[in-house]
Amino acid sequence: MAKYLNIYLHILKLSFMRDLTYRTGFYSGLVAAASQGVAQAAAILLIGSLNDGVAGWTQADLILFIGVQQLFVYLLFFLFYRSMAWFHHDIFSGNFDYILTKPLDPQFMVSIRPGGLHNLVSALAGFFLITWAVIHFGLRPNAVQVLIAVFLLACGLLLSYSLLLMASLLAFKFERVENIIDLVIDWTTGVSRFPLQAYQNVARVVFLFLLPLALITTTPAQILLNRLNLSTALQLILISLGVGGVARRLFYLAIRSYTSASS
Amino acid sequence: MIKWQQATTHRLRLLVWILVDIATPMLMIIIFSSIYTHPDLVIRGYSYSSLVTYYLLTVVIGIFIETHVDEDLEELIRSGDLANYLLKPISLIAARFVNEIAWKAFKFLLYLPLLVLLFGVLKDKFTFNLPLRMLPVLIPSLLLASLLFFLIRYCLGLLSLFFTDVHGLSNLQSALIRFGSGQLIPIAFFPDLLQTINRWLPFQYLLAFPIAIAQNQTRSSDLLWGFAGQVFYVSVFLWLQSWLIKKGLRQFEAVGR
Repeated sequence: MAKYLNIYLHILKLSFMRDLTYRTGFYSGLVAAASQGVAQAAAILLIGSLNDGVAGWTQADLILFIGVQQLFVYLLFFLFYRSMAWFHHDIFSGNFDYILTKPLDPQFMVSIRPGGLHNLVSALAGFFLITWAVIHFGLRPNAVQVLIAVFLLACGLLLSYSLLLMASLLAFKFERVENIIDLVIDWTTGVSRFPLQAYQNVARVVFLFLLPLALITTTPAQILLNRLNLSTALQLILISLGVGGVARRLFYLAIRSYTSASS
Repeated sequence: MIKWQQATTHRLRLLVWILVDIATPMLMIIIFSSIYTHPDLVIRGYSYSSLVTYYLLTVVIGIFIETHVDEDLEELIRSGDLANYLLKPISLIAARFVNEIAWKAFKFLLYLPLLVLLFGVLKDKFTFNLPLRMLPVLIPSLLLASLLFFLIRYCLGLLSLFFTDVHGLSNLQSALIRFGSGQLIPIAFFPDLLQTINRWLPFQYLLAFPIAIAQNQTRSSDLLWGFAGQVFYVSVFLWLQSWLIKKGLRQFEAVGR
């Protein structure tokens, strides 16, 4: 475990050095992330202003929720987007062979290309928004609540990563489907953009039970708002771990059919 | 024909892009069902039924107006392949525009089964009552919107002649378009100040204006101002692209050619 952590930290350092070498790219990415984040946040607040909040979430609640959502989205982009995009490229070009020949877990190797310091900066902006909302609205989550919220966010990231990984495995069978990552990201970030309670009927069944994407951001926000719902929190934890296990199993099954593209 | 062949080489990729395109409108329809807590609720002139129609129209009209010519141009400039166009006796902008028309014709055929499915599933939830006499008004507005979108993206692509990385600007523009055109939420839901600012920008003429015609929500004065706005911005961006290409080609080096 220490070996893997060391390797990851080293790759993180190299990633930061690369991003800061081409500073135009960094500032460009920051503008990109900021513009998308502001547009999404504005849309949520505008919708919330139409009928006094959304499904029982007041405007104040939504501001905290937006902070959690931004933190989640940009951590997802930072940790996994570039990895999954390069995973497709590696399979398509045959470079995946070099990953398989290394004395390290191949799933680890394909998942550790952190992407874009600007995404980390944007995630920090989400964190500051959460902090501001907690202070401004007089919320007082204790240390345990904060730790549980962080743990649930990590479970949400695990669930999203597992979905991305499973979708990426299509690259073993089909050429040029790297845009499947964009589809998974769009749906994951799109569904998690609104609280669970905003989804009704069939959508609620799908996004609560079948694929609890709506829980990813709702449960951490609920804990910070002192509205812990134990059953949905447990649901998120169990499903994240379950889907994570399935993703790993499918990954190793997919490798068995990998025949390389000549390297 | 060539464009159609290129597009169908990777069919799963095409299907994925279609699903990406409909993700946001479908999610917004789902979300608004929780805002409209009872069937007779009308918010800023929109009932739930008219809102569902609105989002379905964003999908349909989006097929005709959306373009990614900026990405193609960026690739042409970065790889130096732009030199091929400069040597030929054809206008770059005309060539790209014709390319877009070919793609959009094909794109509509690809989307048709999905549109039929969507409209079938939501048939009880939307209302569409555009009088036939408004068709000769709707079609030119769509053509102008398509041309305007193309020109905005084209100008963005030409910025690659000046900057090594336009990714940030591209995303900024996409965010502005998604928001200002009414693609995310109808402009009528904006606060009054934002609506006033947006009125002076070109984005509403891309989507909101054609949709307002399609939903028969325009008065004569709205039509006049809407078409005047579209023509004005098309002229502005036509001038801008010719200025950008004149300035940009002076420093274009066709690296790798």
